[in-house]
Amino acid sequence: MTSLMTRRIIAAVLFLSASLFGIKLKDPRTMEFPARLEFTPHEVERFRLSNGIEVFLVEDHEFPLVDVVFRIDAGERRVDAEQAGLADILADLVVEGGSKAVPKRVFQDSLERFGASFRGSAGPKQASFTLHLLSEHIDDLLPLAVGAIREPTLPDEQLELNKNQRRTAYRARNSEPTAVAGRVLRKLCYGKDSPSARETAPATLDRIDLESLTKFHQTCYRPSLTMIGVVGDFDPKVMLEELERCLGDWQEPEVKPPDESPLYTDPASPGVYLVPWPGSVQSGIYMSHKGLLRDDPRYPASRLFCEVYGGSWYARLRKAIRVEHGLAYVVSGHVSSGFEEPGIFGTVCLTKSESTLQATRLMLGVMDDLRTQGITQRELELAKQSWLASFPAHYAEPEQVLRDRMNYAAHQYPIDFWDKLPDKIEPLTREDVNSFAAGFIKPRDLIIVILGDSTAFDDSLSKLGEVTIIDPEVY
Amino acid sequence: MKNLPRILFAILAGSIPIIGVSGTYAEIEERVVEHELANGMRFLIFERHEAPLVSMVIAVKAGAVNEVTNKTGIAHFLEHLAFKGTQRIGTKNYRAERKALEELDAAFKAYHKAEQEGADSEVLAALYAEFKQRQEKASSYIVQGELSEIYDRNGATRFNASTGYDYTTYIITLPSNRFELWCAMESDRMATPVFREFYSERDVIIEERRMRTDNSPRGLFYEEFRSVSYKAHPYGHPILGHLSDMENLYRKDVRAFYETYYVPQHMTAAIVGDVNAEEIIGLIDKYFGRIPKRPDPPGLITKEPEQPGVRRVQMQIGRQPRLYMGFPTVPEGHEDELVLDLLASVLGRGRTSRLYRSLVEERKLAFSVRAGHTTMLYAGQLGFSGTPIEGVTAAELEQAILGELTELKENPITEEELDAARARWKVRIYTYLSSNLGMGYMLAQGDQGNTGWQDIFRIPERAEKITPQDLMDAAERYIDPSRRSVGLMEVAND
Repeated sequence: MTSLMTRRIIAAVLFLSASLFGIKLKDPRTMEFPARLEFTPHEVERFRLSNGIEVFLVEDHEFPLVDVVFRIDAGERRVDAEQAGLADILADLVVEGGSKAVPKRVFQDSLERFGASFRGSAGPKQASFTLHLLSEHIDDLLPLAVGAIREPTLPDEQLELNKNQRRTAYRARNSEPTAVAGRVLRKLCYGKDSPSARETAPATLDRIDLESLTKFHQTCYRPSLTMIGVVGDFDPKVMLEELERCLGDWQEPEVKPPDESPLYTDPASPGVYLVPWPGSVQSGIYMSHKGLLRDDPRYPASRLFCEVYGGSWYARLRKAIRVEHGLAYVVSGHVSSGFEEPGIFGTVCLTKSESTLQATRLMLGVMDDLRTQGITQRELELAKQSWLASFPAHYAEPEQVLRDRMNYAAHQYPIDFWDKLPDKIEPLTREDVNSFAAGFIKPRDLIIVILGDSTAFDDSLSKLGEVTIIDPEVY
Repeated sequence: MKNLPRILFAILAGSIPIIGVSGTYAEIEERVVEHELANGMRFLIFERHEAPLVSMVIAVKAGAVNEVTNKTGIAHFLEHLAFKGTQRIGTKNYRAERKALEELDAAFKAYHKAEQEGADSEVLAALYAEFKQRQEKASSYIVQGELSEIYDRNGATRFNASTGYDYTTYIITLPSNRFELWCAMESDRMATPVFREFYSERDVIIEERRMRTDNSPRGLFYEEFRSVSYKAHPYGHPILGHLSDMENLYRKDVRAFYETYYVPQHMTAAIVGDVNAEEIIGLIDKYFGRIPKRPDPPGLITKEPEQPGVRRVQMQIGRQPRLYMGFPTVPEGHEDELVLDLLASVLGRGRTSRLYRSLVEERKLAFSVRAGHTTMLYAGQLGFSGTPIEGVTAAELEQAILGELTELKENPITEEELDAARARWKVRIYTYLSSNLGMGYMLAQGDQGNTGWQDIFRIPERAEKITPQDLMDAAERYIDPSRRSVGLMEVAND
């Protein structure tokens, strides 16, 4: 390793030579680089344990850290809407409550003693758990985490504490306006009972008990719905042996898991929805309709569309609303894609009450321009250059590679789906993107939610169409 | 009890270690290459060749702490304007634009003065029309968004900046073959920024304030709590600034702040990623060496006087009661800093902390509770925050936390508790360092701090020498209920 002193001497020599030969400073506006930078993301090795659990390993020995990720397809989609929140509560209890072999206190103290963390949560699709620790403690703590996932204790007291915390959170749910708007928008877009939108409310909490949690665990936490990923400083051979020892004898229960319910259950009709927020000095404007499936052939074109629409510094929304009119700090738009059901096409802007209608019209105008006029050749080139050059950032860290591979594998997609995208993006033409925009953007399908104090708006909201009032106290 | 988990692990896990081979703190520290230019600007380079990317973090020792009355929010304003370009980037003709900007500023000043003096509406309308006309003329020279567009075209991610009390920090990640582009862009930005689009950007910043503070019960409450924590010190000012100050700032104020505080000797750039230190030092010299050294900025005179009593703020706002409580401590780099960090960790970090176990799990008074020790260049605070469970008020939670702190004397901190706090620190540091930007932040801000960037690598070793009694002594010295600041957020009555 070169010493600091040596490096400083070399630097001094380089500096002198630069001065002597009068190297000219380059103009950043004219500097050119190859559009694509060839690189190979971290290698991910795939294995199967004897009971079929798929394991993904990514070695990274720079720091003595390891992350073990457990992904179990036991999300809210397998929970009845009447018991909304059950999957997430179970995930909480798994990481808080210990296992049948190791009681709660010992379990928590053991993790804390080594500075490790064990976190879990459940979303609509899956429950995820991450054990984050120093590599020297993996052989001590991995069996504990696995034990909690396989055989959690679900202490009664812990369940009551968790439910009480959620009741408190529910009663405070109308405190922060941006959170309220997000909740309302999700319910309108997906339907109130959708696993993507439904709330954990006192009524649903009352229907969650040890019996229902145990039943859900016994049916959904199973090898065939589990996937494991490990990234960091470990020996793969020994890691596999340890995982086999901890999990290899985990048998598939006979009873079948509940089917997954759809994400879109009962979306609201398109239109304008006002969430009254008396005294608000800023309005939140949200527009949305269904997005895309990830394997939609238009997906590559949608990436370039997003860059131009609302996902970059040069995006049209940003230019029109923030840069040219100074109307907003936050303004953006995005097309998200789902694996099994379409994602969301969403646009958001926060502006002072007095410019609510002005900003709304500008947002709709940008959308309409892109739908009818499309993007320019210059925008296409800029979007392509930007997307292709930033491609390596998608895999900047080994953990990103791991999670990406696991995600695609879990949805039965080719795990190198993302790696193939540059070849699909590069040949796209302006017509491809414009054809996508023309067919995809459907102004008549938009759900427009405005949260704010309508008495201070710059114009009547009814000029945008019929307005439905949403009372956040009951919605 | 102490050995039980270890024995249990041995039984459960067998004895085969799964550990790989990785770097120690000393080895990591050794990999950092330091470089300083004649103008005083410093560079810290850490090679990491896993992906063809490089992250850069420039920490400028200039922030809200350097602001004075009437001019709050100026550091943050400057950070926004730093994205508007330079004498070369973002303009069609800088010489003509400069003249147009001067005329625009004069037009605004005339309008603003008339407005403050209560001029009649016709006069105001005429002056406003003049201002808008000048604004249009100045805009005609602008190549809008050119700076960010160059970065976008070159695959930049995480291109952003943030303003704090002590530092303003500029970050970016680029494909590593674009390193010279960064040198050209950032040296331009630090040496010859042009604060164009000043007036429309002010509106954007005011929207930011509305979002973060004025329209957010929690944001507004926290701003109030800070204002009682510091009576004299600028740490009590909002970073975004007071609305009236923001509305009355002039472009020349921003220029003056830039010239005073954006001096190269107060800047450190950390470069972390797929670069070769020996190769890039030549580029660094070439581009950043042109930034002229300027006089050192004035030191901060105001000191927060010793707090003579309890300071409280109580607000009925929002739907969720919340508590903040803080005790004045020490600035960054003080010998008690780490002891207080560890004390906060034992008291209120994680599910095994004293406050969580007692107030959340056993007494069921809180939804959440945590403690943290925040140190900045000039002052520190041992802080406690919590959300009471339904049926409990913020004031009751305050008393409960005070009771737990008093209990410390009866129930001293154990070696096991301290061990856990040390271990958490160790993992936390490695976790920060494991991402390019995380390491960049630590190196750049650490270098401009009171102790230097190396300090982060010495924390685990220093923590080993700290005893439970040191924590008890610190608690005795700093947790003085008669000198606390308290913020009680209570549910608003509809």
